[in-house]
Amino acid sequence: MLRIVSTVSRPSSTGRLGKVVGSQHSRRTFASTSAKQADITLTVDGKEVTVPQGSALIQACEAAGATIPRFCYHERLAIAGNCRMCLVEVERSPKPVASCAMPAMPGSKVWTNTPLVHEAREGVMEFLLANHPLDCPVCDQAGECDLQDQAMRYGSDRTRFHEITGKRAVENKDLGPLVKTSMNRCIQCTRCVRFANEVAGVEELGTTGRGNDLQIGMYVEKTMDSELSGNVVDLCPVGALTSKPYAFQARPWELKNTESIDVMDALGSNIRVDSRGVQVMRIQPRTNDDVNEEWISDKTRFAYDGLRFQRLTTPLVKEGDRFVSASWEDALAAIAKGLTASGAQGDEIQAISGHLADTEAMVALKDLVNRLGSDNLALDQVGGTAPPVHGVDVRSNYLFNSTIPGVEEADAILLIGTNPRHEAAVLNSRIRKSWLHTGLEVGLIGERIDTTYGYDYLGGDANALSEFMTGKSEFAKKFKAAKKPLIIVGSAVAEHPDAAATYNALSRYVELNKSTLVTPEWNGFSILQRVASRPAAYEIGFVPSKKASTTKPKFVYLLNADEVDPKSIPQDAFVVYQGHHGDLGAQLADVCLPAAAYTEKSTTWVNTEGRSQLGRSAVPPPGASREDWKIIRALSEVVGSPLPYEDVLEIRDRMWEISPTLVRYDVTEPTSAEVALAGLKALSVRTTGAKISGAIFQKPITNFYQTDPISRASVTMAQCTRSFVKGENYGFSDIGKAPEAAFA
Amino acid sequence: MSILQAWRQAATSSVGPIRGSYTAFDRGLTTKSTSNSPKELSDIAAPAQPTRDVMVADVISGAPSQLRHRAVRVYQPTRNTMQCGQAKGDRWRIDFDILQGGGRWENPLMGWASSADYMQGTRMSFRSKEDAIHFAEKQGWDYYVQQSTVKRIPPKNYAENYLYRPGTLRIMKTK
Amino acid sequence: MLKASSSRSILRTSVSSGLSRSKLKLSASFATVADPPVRRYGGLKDQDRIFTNLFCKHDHGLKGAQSRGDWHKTKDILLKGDSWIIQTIKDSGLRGRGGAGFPSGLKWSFMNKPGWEKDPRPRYLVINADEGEPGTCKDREILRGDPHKLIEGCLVAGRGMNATAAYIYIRGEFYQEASHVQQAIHEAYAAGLLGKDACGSGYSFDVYLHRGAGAYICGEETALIESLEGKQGKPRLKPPFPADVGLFGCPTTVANVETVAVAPTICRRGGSWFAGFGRERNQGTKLFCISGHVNNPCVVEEEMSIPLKELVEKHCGGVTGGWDNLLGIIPGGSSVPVLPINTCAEVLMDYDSLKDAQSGLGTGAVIVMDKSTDIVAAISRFAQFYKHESCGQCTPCREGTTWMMNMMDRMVQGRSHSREIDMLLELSKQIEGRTICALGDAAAWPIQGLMRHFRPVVEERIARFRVDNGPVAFGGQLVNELDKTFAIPDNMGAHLPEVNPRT
Repeated sequence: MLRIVSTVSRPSSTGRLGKVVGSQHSRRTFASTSAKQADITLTVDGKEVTVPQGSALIQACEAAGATIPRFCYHERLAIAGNCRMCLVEVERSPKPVASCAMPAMPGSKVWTNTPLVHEAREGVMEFLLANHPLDCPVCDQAGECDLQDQAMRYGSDRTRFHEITGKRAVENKDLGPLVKTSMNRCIQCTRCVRFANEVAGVEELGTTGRGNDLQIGMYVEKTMDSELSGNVVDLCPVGALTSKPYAFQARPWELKNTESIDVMDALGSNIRVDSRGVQVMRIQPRTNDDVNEEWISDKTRFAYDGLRFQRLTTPLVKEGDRFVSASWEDALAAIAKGLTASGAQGDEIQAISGHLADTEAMVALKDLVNRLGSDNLALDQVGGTAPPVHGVDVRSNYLFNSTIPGVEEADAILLIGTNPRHEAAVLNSRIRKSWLHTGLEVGLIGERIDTTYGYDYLGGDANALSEFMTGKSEFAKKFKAAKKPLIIVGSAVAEHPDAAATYNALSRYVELNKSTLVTPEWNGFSILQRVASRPAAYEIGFVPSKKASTTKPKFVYLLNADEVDPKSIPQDAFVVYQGHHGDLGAQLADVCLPAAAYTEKSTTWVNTEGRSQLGRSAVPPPGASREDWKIIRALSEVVGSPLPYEDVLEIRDRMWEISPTLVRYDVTEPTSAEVALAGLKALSVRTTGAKISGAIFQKPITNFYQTDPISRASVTMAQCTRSFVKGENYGFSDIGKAPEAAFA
Repeated sequence: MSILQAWRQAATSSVGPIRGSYTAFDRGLTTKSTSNSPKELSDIAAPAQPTRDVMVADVISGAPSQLRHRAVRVYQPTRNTMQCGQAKGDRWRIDFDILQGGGRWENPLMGWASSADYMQGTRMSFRSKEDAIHFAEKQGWDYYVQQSTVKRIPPKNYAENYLYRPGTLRIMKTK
Repeated sequence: MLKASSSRSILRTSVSSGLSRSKLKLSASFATVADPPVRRYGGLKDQDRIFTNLFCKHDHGLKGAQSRGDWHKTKDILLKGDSWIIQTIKDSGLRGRGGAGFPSGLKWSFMNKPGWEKDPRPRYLVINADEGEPGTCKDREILRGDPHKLIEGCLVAGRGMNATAAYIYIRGEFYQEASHVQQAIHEAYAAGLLGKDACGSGYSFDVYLHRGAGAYICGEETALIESLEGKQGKPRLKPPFPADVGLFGCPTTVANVETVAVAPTICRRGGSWFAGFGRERNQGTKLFCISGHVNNPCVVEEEMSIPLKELVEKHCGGVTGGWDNLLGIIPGGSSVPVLPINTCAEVLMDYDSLKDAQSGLGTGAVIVMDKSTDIVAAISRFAQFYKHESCGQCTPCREGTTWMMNMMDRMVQGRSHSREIDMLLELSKQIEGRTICALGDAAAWPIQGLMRHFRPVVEERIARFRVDNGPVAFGGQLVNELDKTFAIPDNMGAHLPEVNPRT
C-alpha cells in the first residue's frame, strides 16, 4: 500500500514526535552577554574572519575554518599555552605564536599553513613523541587518541630518538577505582590539572617536579575524590588517564554510539551510550551547553555495569515465599486475579512511581489507575503518599526556573537544604566556575556540606531562613543587593517536616523581593530536583488527591519504586513491582514484571528545568523484559480497561494532551513572571500558619555513588563507595600497579 | 534467538482478550502486517497536501513492511569528547530504534555479537538535514528530527587566569 | 687597539640596528669628510663609580650608606614627580641590566598609561634579585654591600611608576644578602625613609623582602611573579604583559637589582652624566663579573663598551698563561654563545657589539676559558644545568633540554655519529623561539655557539672515539655491541660511513 508521509501532511506532527523548535524559543540566548562585546576582524590564511573581541587567536582560526592541532587547549578549560602545538605564523612576529594564548588582534594577518608553521609543529611533535611510549597496541586510547591522529599529520615516519639513556619512565599514580593511570604516556598538557582545579574543585591534583621530571599527580598520596573525576579520562589527549572499569574491554571502532539521556540525577545530562552487541560498554558525555556542557558525573559515567547485574529478565510470580518465573500472560493474569482478590476499590488501588520511571510509563500508569477509579498516585519518597507542599498546578513551583546555564549569571546564590555536589554534580561545577571567575557569593541553610566553593553558613533549619529574611546578616545584605539573586531549594525540603513553613517563608520572601527575584528576564526561585522522574511526575500530575492520600491501599503498583519504606505497604495488600532490577521493590512484590532500563528504551525524560529530552535505546532489554509503557498497556487489557494508545506515537499524543511541554523536546519553556508570582501567592496562602519544628535540613544523599537500583547493582559504584565514602582501600586501586600483561 | 522464537510462539499461541496487548507489545516484531489497521489509514488520509510529492521507495524496494514501524531519528552526532577533532561533525545521520525483544545476542564462548536487527549495522550519513529528511520520507519511515545543540564557547583569554578581582582571593591553579 | 675601519663598521651596525635615517646620513657625511675621533671606552674613574661598597669593605648599614651619599636629598627627587624621574632615566639611556637590555625608562613608563589614576588596583614594583645565572655574581655584591642603594632605588623607581609597594624577590641561597637587605629595610623604616610618608615627601611606599626557594627559572619575570603569588614558579606567556596584568593581577614592573640600584644616583647626578659613558644606545656604567681562567677574578664596575680584552687585562690581571693561552670567552653568563679568541680581541662589552658578534651581553658575566678547558665538557655542563632548571611546562624545553643534554654528554666522550652534530643543531633550532620563556633560547645558544666556533673539536673527538671503539650508531650505541640477532633499523645509522672531511 502506498503510504505518503511528510512532515507537512502529518496530522499532529507536533504532538506526535516533538516539534521542531529552534533555539530562539529557548529561554535565554547568550546574545545579551555578547552584545556588549565589539567584534574584530582579522585575516586568517587570506580569509577575513570576524570574531568577538577578546577571543583567542585559535578561536579566530577555527572560525575561519582552519584546523589548529592542539593538546593543552580545551574550549571549556582555562588556557595554559604549554603544549606549543598550536603555533601559527603572525605577520610582523619573528617567532611562531601559540594561537591559544594569543589574543586575536584586529587587522592582524595570520597563516596557519606555512612552512614555518609546519616545521615548528613537527618539531614539537618530535619532542612529544621522544618520550611517549610506543604502546598504542595495548593502549586504551588508541583509535581515539589526539596524539595518534596529530602524529599522522605532523609526526615523522621514523624516529631520530635513539638515545641510549632511553625514554622517560614515570610511576603510575593511584587516583582511585575510576581513573587508571599510565603516566609514561603523559605529555604534560595539564588539562586534567586545570579541570580538577577549575571545574571539579580538586586542588590536590597538580604537577610536581620540574623539567623532564614533571609529573602529574596528587600532591599528597590520596585518591582523586570528586564526583566529576571521570571527565579527566575524556580530557586526556593521550592514554595516560583512562577508565579503569573500561580498561581492555573494547576498542572505540567496534562500539555503536547511541545518543541518549542520563537518569542518574535530575539534570538530564546528555550522554552517548557506547554499546557492543547487547552490552553497554561505556557511557560518554555529549556536549550540550544548555545542560551539562561537556561533563558528566562519575555515577552517570560508570554505573553502567549495574545494568548487567541483578536484572529481572522474566516475569516472576510469588508462590508461597518464593518467586517462580512465569510467562507474560500468566503474570498479567495473576495480577488481574490479585486485583480482584484484593477487593481494592477506588482509591485503594495505589500506584507508586519511583526514581527511574519514564514519562510514558507514568502517563500510562496514571491513566490506568484513573480508569480503575483511583486517584492514589504516590511518589517514591518520604511523605510521597501525601500531595506535595508546593503543589503541581504551577510549573514554576517545582522546577529549576533559573535554568542551568542561568546559574552562571547569578551573583548571589542561597542554597537551602541541598547539596548540589551530590544532587547535581555537573550543576555544582557551574557554581564553582562562577564562584571562581565572578564575585559570586554563596550562602547555605541546611546541614553543613563540603562544596567545592566557599559559602556563608547561615544555619541548619527553617529558623535560619526566618533570620535570613530579616536581612540582618552579612550575606542577607549581599543577597538583597544582588542583581540576579538565586535561591536553590533542594528537593528534600519538600519532604521535610518543616516543608510548609519553609515554602511559606520562601514564597513570601520572593514576593517581597520580586523586583530582583522574579522579573521577565530572571526567575531566581529554583527547586533542584534530584530524581530523574520527579519533574515529569509533577508535570503529569502523578500526585495523590487529598482524599486518596488517607486511604489504606489494598493493591499497590510499584513502578520502579525501590526507595519505599516496606512498613508503609500494608501486609495484606497485593503488590506488583515493575522495574528492571531485583532491588528492594521486587522483594516486596507478589508479581514482578521485568522492564527496560534507561539504555534500553526510547522514552521521554524531563529534567529539573522542565526540559523534556528524548532518550534512545542503545541495547535491547534482556530476556523477556519489555518497555515499561507497553507492559502497562498490556496489563490494561488484562484488567479490562484498555488504554487508548497502541504505539509510542499515540502515547505521545496523549502526553501532548496532558502538557504540550512534555513533547516539545530540548527546550525549556519559562513560566511568565505573573504566573510564577501567582503560583507563589497561592502557595503562601495554602501554607499560612505552618509551624516550624526546627529540625535540621538533612542532606538527602549520604552516599553519592549508590542512589538507585542501577548504581546499587554496580560493582564500580560499590568500589567507589568503599574508596571515597568510607575511605577504605580494598586493594582495587592497586590494579594499575600490577603488570598489565596479566590483564591483557 | 531463542527468546525471539519463544516470544513469537507465545504470541501466536495466545488467545482471548489479551491478544491485543501483544500487538501493542510487539509492533515491528510480529510478522503480521498492521498496515491495514484503521489508524494507519487515517495517517494516509492526511488533510494537508504535502508541498513536495514524494515517491515512496517502498513500492519497489521490497523492504519488509515492519521497517516502517520503527521511528527513525534524524540527528547530528556530537563530537566525541575523547578527542578534539571536529571532522565529520557537520554530517547528519539517521538511526533506527532497536528491535525490541532479543534482536541481539552474544556468542557465549567467544562473545561475538550477532543481531537479528538488520538496521543496526546500517550507518547513513547525509550532508544536510534536508537530505536526511528527504530520504526518510522517500522510504516511508516515521522520523523525527533531533535538533543539534548550539555551541556557546565564550571568547577565551589567557589573561583571564591572572586577572585582578576585588574581594577574597580565589586562586585557581593552572599548573 | 680599535681600528678606524672597525669603528666605522660599528657605526654602521649601530645605525642599522635601529637609529633614525637622518643620523645615518649624518654619520655617512662625517665619514666622507674625516673619520670621527676614535673614542676609547673604559677606565672608569673612581668618582664616577656608583657602587662604592661592592667589596663590602665598609659599613653596609644606613650610616655607612649615607656617608657614601645614599639617601641624599631623596625627598627632592621624589617631589619632582613621576614624569621627571622617568624622563631622567630615559635621558640616561639606561637599559635593563638583567640580560634582555630593554630600555628602562620606556619600560617604567608603561606603568603610567593614560588614565592610570582611575585604576583602583594596587601597583607593584618587583625587584628581581633571583640571581642564578652561572657566572653572574653582580647583584649579590650590591645586596651585600650596598643594600641601601637598592632600597632607595626601589623608592625612586617606585615613585617613577607610581607603585604602591615593592617586593624584592631574593634568591633563597642568598642568606647573608637577604639579612643585609632586611636590615636595610628595617633601618629605612625606622629612619622614616620608607612607609607612610617616605622621606617626608608625602608619598607612601612599602618594601617587602621575599626569599625564593632556589629555582633558576624564577628569575624569569613572569615566573617570578607566579612564585611571589605562591604558585609554582613557571613562566606565563606574554601577553598579558606584567604592566597590565602582573602580580596578583595588578600592574607590575619587574626590574633587575642593578637597574633599580643605579636609579637614585642617575637622578642625583643627572641623566646626561650617565649617558656620557659608553657608546650610543649602550650608555652607562655596568658591573662586570669576570670569572674563570683569569689571574684575579673579580666584580668590577666599568664603563659600558669597554673592550673585552681591556676588561680582562686591566681588572683581572689577564688570562692565566697570557692572552694567547685563551680558548674562548662567554661574555654574558651561561645563556649566551661562546666567543673564540679572535673575536674576543675585538669585541666591545655592550649590547650591540656582542649582538653583532652573535653573542650577547646578558648579565655581564664574563667567563674566561683558557686552553686547558675542555670546551665540549664545559658546554655540556651548561646543557645539564638547563635540563635541570627547565620548569617542564612547555614541550620543546622540557623534552629538548633533556635530549640535548644526553647528546652533549655523549659528545664529551665522542660517543656519537658525526651526523648527529647537525641533528643537535637542528634540535636546538626546534627549541629556540618555540618556548614560553627565554630558557629554551638560553639552552640552545651555548650549543649553537660551540658548534659555530669549535665544531672541529667535536668532530675530532668523534673521530678519535670511532678509531678506538669502532663505529657508533645514532644514539650512542656501539655498532659492535648491537645484538646482530635482531633486525637493526636503517635509521640507526649503524652502517653509515663517517662524513668527516678531516679524516
